[in-house]
Formats: sequence, structure tokens, C-alpha cells
Amino acid sequence: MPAPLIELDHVSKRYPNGFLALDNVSLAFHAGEIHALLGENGAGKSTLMNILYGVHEPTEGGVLMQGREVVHRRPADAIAHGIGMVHQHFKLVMPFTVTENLALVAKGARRAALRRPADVRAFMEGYGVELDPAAVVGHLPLALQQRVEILKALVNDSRVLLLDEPSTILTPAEIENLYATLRRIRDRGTAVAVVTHNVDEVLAHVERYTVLKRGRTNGTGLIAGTTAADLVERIVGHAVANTERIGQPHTAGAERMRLAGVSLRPSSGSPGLHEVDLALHAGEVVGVAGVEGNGQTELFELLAGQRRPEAGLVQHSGPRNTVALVPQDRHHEGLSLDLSVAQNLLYPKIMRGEYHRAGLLDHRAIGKQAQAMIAEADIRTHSPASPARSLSGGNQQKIVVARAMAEAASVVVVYQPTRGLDVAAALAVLQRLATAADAGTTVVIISSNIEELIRVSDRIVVLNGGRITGELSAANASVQAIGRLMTLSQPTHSMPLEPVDA
Amino acid sequence: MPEPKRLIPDLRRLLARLSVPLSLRVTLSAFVGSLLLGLGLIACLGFPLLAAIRVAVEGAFGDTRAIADTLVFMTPRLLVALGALVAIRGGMFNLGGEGQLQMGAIGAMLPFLAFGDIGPALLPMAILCGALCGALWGVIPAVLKLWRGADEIIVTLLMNFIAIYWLKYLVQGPMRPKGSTFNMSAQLPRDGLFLPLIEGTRLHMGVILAVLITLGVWVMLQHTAFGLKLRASGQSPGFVRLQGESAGRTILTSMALSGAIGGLAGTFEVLGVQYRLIDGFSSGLGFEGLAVAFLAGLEPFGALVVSLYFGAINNAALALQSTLSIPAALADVLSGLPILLLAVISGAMLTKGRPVWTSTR
Amino acid sequence: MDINAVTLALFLAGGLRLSVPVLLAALGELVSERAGVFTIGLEGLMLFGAVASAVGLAATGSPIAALALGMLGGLLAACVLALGTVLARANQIVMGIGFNVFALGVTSLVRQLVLVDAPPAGALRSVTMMKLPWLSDIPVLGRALFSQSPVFYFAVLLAVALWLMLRFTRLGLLLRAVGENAAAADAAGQPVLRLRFSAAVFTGLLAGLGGAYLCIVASGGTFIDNMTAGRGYLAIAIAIFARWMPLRALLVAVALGLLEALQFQGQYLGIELPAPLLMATPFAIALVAWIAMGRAGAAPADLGRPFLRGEGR
Repeated sequence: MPAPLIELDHVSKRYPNGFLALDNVSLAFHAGEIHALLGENGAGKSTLMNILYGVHEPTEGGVLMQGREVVHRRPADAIAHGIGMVHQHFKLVMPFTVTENLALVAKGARRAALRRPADVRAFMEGYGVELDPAAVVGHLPLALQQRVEILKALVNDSRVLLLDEPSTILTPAEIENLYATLRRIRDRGTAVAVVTHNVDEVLAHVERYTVLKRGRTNGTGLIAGTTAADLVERIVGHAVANTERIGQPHTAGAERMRLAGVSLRPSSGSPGLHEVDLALHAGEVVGVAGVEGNGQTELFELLAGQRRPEAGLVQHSGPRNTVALVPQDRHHEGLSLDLSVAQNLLYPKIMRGEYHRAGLLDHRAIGKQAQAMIAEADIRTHSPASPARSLSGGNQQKIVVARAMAEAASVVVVYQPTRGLDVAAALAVLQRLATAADAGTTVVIISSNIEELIRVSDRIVVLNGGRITGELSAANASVQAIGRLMTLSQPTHSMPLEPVDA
Repeated sequence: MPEPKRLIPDLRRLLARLSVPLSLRVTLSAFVGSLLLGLGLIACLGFPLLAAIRVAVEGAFGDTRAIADTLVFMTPRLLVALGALVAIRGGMFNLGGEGQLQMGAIGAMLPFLAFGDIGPALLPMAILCGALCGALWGVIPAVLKLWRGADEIIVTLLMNFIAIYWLKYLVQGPMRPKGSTFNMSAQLPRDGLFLPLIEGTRLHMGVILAVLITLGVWVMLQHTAFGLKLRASGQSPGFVRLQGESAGRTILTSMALSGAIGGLAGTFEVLGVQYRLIDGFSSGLGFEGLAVAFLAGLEPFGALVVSLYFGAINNAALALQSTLSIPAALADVLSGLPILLLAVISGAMLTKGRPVWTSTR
Repeated sequence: MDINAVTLALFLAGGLRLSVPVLLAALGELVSERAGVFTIGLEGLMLFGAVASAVGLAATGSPIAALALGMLGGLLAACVLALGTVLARANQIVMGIGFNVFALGVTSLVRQLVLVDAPPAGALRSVTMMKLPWLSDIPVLGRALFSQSPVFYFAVLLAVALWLMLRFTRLGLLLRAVGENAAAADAAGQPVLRLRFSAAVFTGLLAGLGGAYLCIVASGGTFIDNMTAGRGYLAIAIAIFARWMPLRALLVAVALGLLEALQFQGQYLGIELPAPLLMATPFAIALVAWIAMGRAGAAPADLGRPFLRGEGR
């Protein structure tokens, strides 16, 4: 085996907020090889890429190129060392033409060589890409924008090409196309590294893999001699720590809401939604599993009524449903951080005119009611009057959940409810949701945490690439089965309601 | 509501953080730093430093009269700042304090010019009319934002100058008494309008009213549902949107209120200081008021303190000019400096991983 | 030449003369906005340019040196401003407002301390009037267009040059990229902060020249407190209304200059409006245009957004 082209040498990265994204990771990419980086959300894949490209600097450890230590303080340094990167959210100047975007990154002689449109065309055709050099990038379809992003990364004859989640936004046919291009690039002696969560894509197209799990390496090797089951296990983990059910299983009641053939167009960093069918019933907990960025945000916005589908219908059956929301972004949407805990808890009621005395806010009544809710939801706060900002993430989340519960809505839609919470806080939040379903509320939990979905849901649907790729009943759900649905890109439209793999 | 023009996208996010008071230490160091720079300047220019300090302190706070003058200087700055902070706390970047002040001044004259001296009713009418004119000038950008998506930053800036020239026109033409050659309106009847509260000083009723309005703004922000909604809209528009509330009414109401308070700044200048409409009575008071609001971290009582400081600086600068011939423009230098220092200090924090204008609590 | 032609020529010439400072400042503003920096401090930059030129005139007696010093003054002031808005990533509006208050004070201070005994300005003709050979003999147009200050010709050429620069040169490409998507420019290895700083400083240079013109060419070398009287803000509006295109900015500035000129020649042309209302019209027209533009967008997408690597998009 030839010496690696570029290596990460015992790299750790701790963000200013204290989060340890990478923990002593060592890794090597070889010339003429496509190397897949696999892992769940937050496993550290993007951080790793960004360190190689000079967007972030490592807290410890370093980067070696052909055995020599290099320091990338800024992307310009990485480019100078022959590294190109394709970002998940494209770093393209949308109002610029293809040529202009290429010129932005091209250096020296290459810039001169790309002066005429014919030269640009020839350069692109060298990689099997046919594009009008004068086309405005923002007007191109996403798959072609991605091609421009790749070409941009290659303009300076890069020896290393990094791609961050390039396949998420692509259709299966486009993925084939992408890898055809990547193989061509590989054959020129470039080291290609692809971040992805799709196992079958890796098995089909890639030579070598590394799995990251919670910032550490969890296996690396050649694809030849590994299996899908092995990779899925490495990604989602083997032993499930806790399978104990949270709350009682529910029997679904009457239908409340239905998405029928709902679609939304893809956008940068998201695949949109494709013909999603989903019925929601009274008194059940429906889990929506999937790797983040596979249409979850769109689904949430549809259920919340913030967006209308571009095709298909969102139907409410029976009496008017009320929808209470626990958004993913608790700092910007779930809470108003500088308002007090009490004001956050009671905001909807205050706005409806409750808790007033003589035209002013009745702080005493607000405090009293808030105190009751704080006790009930076990929110740890210095006082109801403390700003929500001063609470820990878990307690902030309890505020958002408690407020949603107090609305006594018929449907509660919850998005990543336990992100960043410790075990106890997460359990409390899920318990609360299960109790709501006992009382007949429809609870929808959108989460990338499979384990907790299995523990609390009555049934689980899996989103992948904007499609529902399968549905499992609670009894049959396993981390492996869901993990497989989450990480296999081919949508199986005839997916049975039975588990794929018991 | 049309999509607002994305002219200044993320200033709005930073703006939301503005309403979190800066740590007192950072703010104080900016003020102290600017004062030291000012003193350094005085010394560099060859003026006697100790004498200058004595004159400045006595000029601003030396006796009843000095204190009264300081308070009179404070008042318009405070009111413009209060108006600005009401809008900005709600997420509308109202930079139109100067224009609203001009309109408020015009409004103050209207009842007298229309009805003549009609006795005690004139004062409340003048105040009401001034506030209304200011409110009108404040509502226009709000309407344009809701109707056309026109970014209020540009609209309010441009409307400032329209108001300034409109006032200039009025005192050169329609409001100039026949036969007069001065660019000013007729004089209000002094009786019954904002009499000096203490004989021999310029202290007028507007000072008291401004302090009461400070209290009112604080009550509104902290103790009413509207204030709650306003603060939530400014800090977390995503939160308010998710709560299913429309931004339109908040924008209209807050801009009307903001304009009215800004207008009163001009009204009180006419009723309490000038007794007439006169061209150029505000030498950039509107922009100074904005600086006060920013320096106060958009807090009403903070604005009271900062505007008192600005009032003292301006008053002291006059004393320095008359006794030591140090140009009074020093006051503007000292008004602008803290905000520059603050912007650089707190901006620099961001580069160390801490957000701009954040508090340390 | 009959009397009407003379009046017309005077009117046109006056309008063009009045448009120069606003045009220069607007060109500067649009360059920095193209690079993503919102320079609210433009008014203050012009004031600094004006006072620097007055000092330069008093010190050297040479109007050309005065203009050069005006540019230098604007440039240095812009360095201070950009230190906050670009390098320290301060809120660009807050910083700009503070800067304008500060500028008002400093320039007035300089006038009272330095310019109080300034000798009366000598001959300024070298900068106020430059008759272009042959062209200035064309009836009406010659007097209107080709008997102007050299600064006017410079400003017009500059508008064309900036158009060419932004549209056809690599520097223009980089500046536009930094304003449209700073993160993309950074990922492409371009020095975002250096480009933005340079653009902001260039704005100071032009605003300084605008202020210097106001002081030396338009006011006979006398600095008056707050002599810009909102022209900086008007220039910001022009830059935006012109959708950040230099040639459009030229047209808009000239149109507004002509409007303003009506106060001097209007009565001869049969248009009588009080001067303050005419002075207000550029602002009103800019406002109406801004509203009529609707959400035409096209603003540089990263305008007003401080850049920090690894944050945001």
C-alpha cells in the first residue's frame, strides 16, 4: 500500500461552547482511492472535513501531507496544499456564472487557461460534465450546482477532494452519476473522501471506509470484506443500552390528520419531500426517524401549518385540530431567551388576555401559575422570573414542552425533543409526551435518536432522502432495522409494514 | 405582508442582541475611556487641564441653574432615545428620530397658529398635536414596510431630511409672521405654556414629563402584554412567528408610539426652550438620541442615565467655551466617542468567540 | 445665443456641479456595499474630507493639494470606521451613527481650532473650472458639460471606470463575491476581510473627495459646520436606488442635482418652488423610488453581515 497522501494525526476538536466534536482521531486518505466517512449526526464527520480544509483549527493534533506536518489556518492554506472541498451547503456565489465561480478559486496559470469559454468547457468535459460556462449558477438545478461545486474544488488540480454529504440531495440516478464523476477524478490519482450516511452507496462505490461515532473512530478498513450489517452496526452501535418502554403502548383512535402524496422541492442542503403519505390518529405516538437533513424540517413545517405542500394535501379530519409545537431550534423558535421562564411558559395565555390586572400584567398570578408548571414539569430554575437564557438546555426544553402541553392541543409535533439533554432530562421530556398520548393527544416525534424513538413510539416511520422508506410497529422495531432504513438510499415503495429484519 | 427586503439581513439578529444590556463594566470603560481621551485632547491643545475640569463640573452641576440647564439639555436626547428604543426593541430599526423630532416641533406650533392664544387649553393641545405629528412620521415607515416591504432603515433616514427641509420651508414661508425677515415663526404666548419651574432657571415642565415618560416606557415594556410581545418580536421573531402571531400590528403600534415619543422631543424644545419654531434648533439631536439609546443598551432607565451624561457634557462644553474658549464642539466628540469605542470593544469580543453586545450575566 | 439657451446652459451646468459630491460619495458607497459593508458613516466621511481639504487649503494655498488632503482625510477616517465595522465586526449601523456624531464634533472642533485664522482662499479656478478645448465651444452643451470642475470629469470617468472594474476585472469579481457570499469567497481562498477593508477605505477616499469638492469647489474653500447637510445619507439612497451600478448612480445623481439646481435657475425656467422644498425633493424622490422598487432585491446577499469563518452559512 502506498504512503497516505493526507493524514489526521491524533486530532481533537473542542468548540468554544465546550462540545468535544472530535476525540483523538487518526485517519489517512490515499491517492487514487475513494474513502467514505460514515456516521450519525454529530459523529464529527463535518468537523473533520472542516479541519482538513482550514475552516476550523484542531484543538490538539495536526494534519500531515505526505508525512509532513501542515497547518491550515484558513481555506486558502488548504487550497495552496492542493485540497478542494465540496460543502454540504454549497459555497457558490449564486448570481455568478459557472465561469465566474470557477475563476474565483482558480490560481495562476490555471486562471489564465480558463479565460475563454471554450477552455472552461474543455476543462469541464475532462470530468465528464457538460455545462454552459455562461449559465448563472443560481438558476441551475441542485445536482448541477453540485457539479460546479465539485469542479470548483478541482480547478487547481487538487490532489485531495473532500465531499461533505454530497448524496443527500440527489436522486438515486444522480448518485450513480456523482460516483461516475468521482471515479474519474480518483483515476487521475486524487484522494477522494466522501462524508455520507448511506451504507449501500458506500458498498457500491467506495474502496475504503471509516466510521465515526461520537467523535471517535469506530472501525476503518477496506469495503471488500465488509457487509451492510457490519457497517450499520458500527454506525448506530450494537448493544442498545436501554430498551425499557417509556409510557404505555397506545391503541390508535380515530384519524385526525393525513398527509396525502405531499411533495416539496429540494433546496440546498435538503432533499425536500417526495410523495409522503402519513396518517395520524388520536392517542398515538408516531416516531419519525431519519438522519437529519432528509426532509424532517419540511415535514415539521407542513405539520405546523407554516408551509403548504407544492403537491399533495394536508387534510384535517373531524373537528378543527389544534397543533402545539416543540420546534427543533429552542433558542430561536422555542423560547424567547431574554424573557423570563414564567413569561415563556405562559406566553400564549398572556397574549390571549389572561393574567391581567388593571390593564397591567398580573405578575403575581403569572408567577404562581408558572411555579405550579415548574413544579409539575420539574424545571430547575432559580426562580420563575429568571431569564430563560440562564437555564440549562434540558430545563429550557422542559419549558417548551410544558408550554406545548398546557395548550391542550389535539396534535403535538415535536422536533428533536431531546437534543443536548442528559439522560434524566430526556426521559422526563419523553415521559411527558407519552402521558399526553394517554389522554388522547396525537404526538408526533421527529428525531434522529433511534433508541428513544423505539422506546416511546407506537409506530415509527423512517425518512430518507425526503421519502418515507418504511414503517415499523413498536413491537417489531429494532435499532438495526431502522438503522438500515435510514442508511439505505434505495427507496422501496412497496415497503411492507412488517419489519425488514426481525 | 410582503417579504421585507433583505437589505441588512443579519444586522437584525445582532440588533436583537442589542436589547440585552451590555455588561456595566464594558459600558463604563467606554465612557471613562472617552472622557480620558477628551481630557487628553484638552491638554494637548494647551488648555489648563485642572481648570478645565473645574469649569466643566461647575458648568454642568455647579448650582441650581447649571443643573437645570443640564436637565434641559438632557430632555430632547432622552425622548429621542426612548422613541428609538421602543421601536428597536420591537425589531424596527427606526433611525428617524431626527425627523420625528422636527415633526413634533411643527406640531407643537399648529394649535397656536390655528386658534391663537386660547388660554390653558393650548398647552395640552400643543403636546397632543406634537405627539400626533411625530406618530404620523413614525407610522409611515411602518406602513411602507408592511405594504411594500421597504426597509425601514433607508426610509427613516430619508424621511429625516424631508422633515428638516419641510420645517425650513415652513419658517421661511407659511409660518413666518408678515414683515419679519427672520426665519422663524411667531412666538408662543409664554403664559400657560411650560413656565420655568424654578424662577431664574430654564427648567421647564418637559423635563418632568420626559422622566415620567421614561417611567411609562419602562412600565409598558416590563408590565404589559404589549411590551412582552414587543420584546419577544424584537429578540426572537422566530418564536413569535411560531406562536402564530402576525408582526404587522406590533410594527404599526410600536412605530406610532416611537414616533410620538420622538415627536415630543421636538414639541418640548418648542414649548420649553425656543417658544417658537426656528430653523436649525436641533443640531443633530435625533442622531445623538440614537447614540444614547444604543449606549443605554436600549433600556429606558439606562437612557435616562446616558442622556443625563450627554446633557452634562453639552452644558459643560458651553461653560468651557465661554470661560476657556474651548470649542463647544467638544461635546459632540465626546458624544460620539463612547459608541465608537464600544463598537470596537464589543465587536472585538466576537472574534474571541463571544457574541457582539452580549451580557455577561 | 439667446437668453433661453443661456439660462438652460446655466441650469444644466449648475445641476451637474451640484451632483458631483453626492455622486462621488454614492460611488464610494456602492463599492463598499458591493463588498458587503454598509457604510452609514458616509456623512461623517464626507465631513472629514471637507475639513481636511479646508486645512490643506489653509496650509498650502494650493487647491489641488487641498483636494488631495481631503481624500487623505476621508481615507484615514474610513480606516477608523472599517476597523470597527470590518475587523472588529461591530454592528455597522450603530457604529455608523456613532461615527457621524463624532465626525460632526471633530470637524467643527478642527474648524474652530485650526481654521479660525485661515487666510482667505486664493485663486481656486484651477479646480473650479476647466474648459475642455473645442468641446466647450459647443453651444449650450459646451457651457453645461465641458466647462466644469476637473473633479466633475474625474467623477464621470470614475463612474465608467468603476463600471468596468466591477463588471470585467478580477478585482471586481472578488469584491462582488465577498459581498454576495463571504463564506464562499473565503472557501475559495480569498482574503475576505482584506477585500472588505480595502473597499471600505476606498469609500472613504471618494467620500473624502466629495467632501473636499463641497468645501473647495462649491463653497470657495470655506468649511461650515455640518456642511454636508445629509448628502451622505442621500448618497446611500442613491447607491441603493441605482442597484449598486455605477452608471445608474451617475444618472440618478445628475437627475437629483438638476432638481436641486432649480432653486437657482428655476425662476428663469418658469418653475417656482421655495428653496427648502427643492432641497427636500431629492430625498423625497429617493424615498419614492425606494418604495417603488418594491422587493426588487438584488442587494448583495451578505450586505451588512459581518464575516466570521465557520459561522453562518
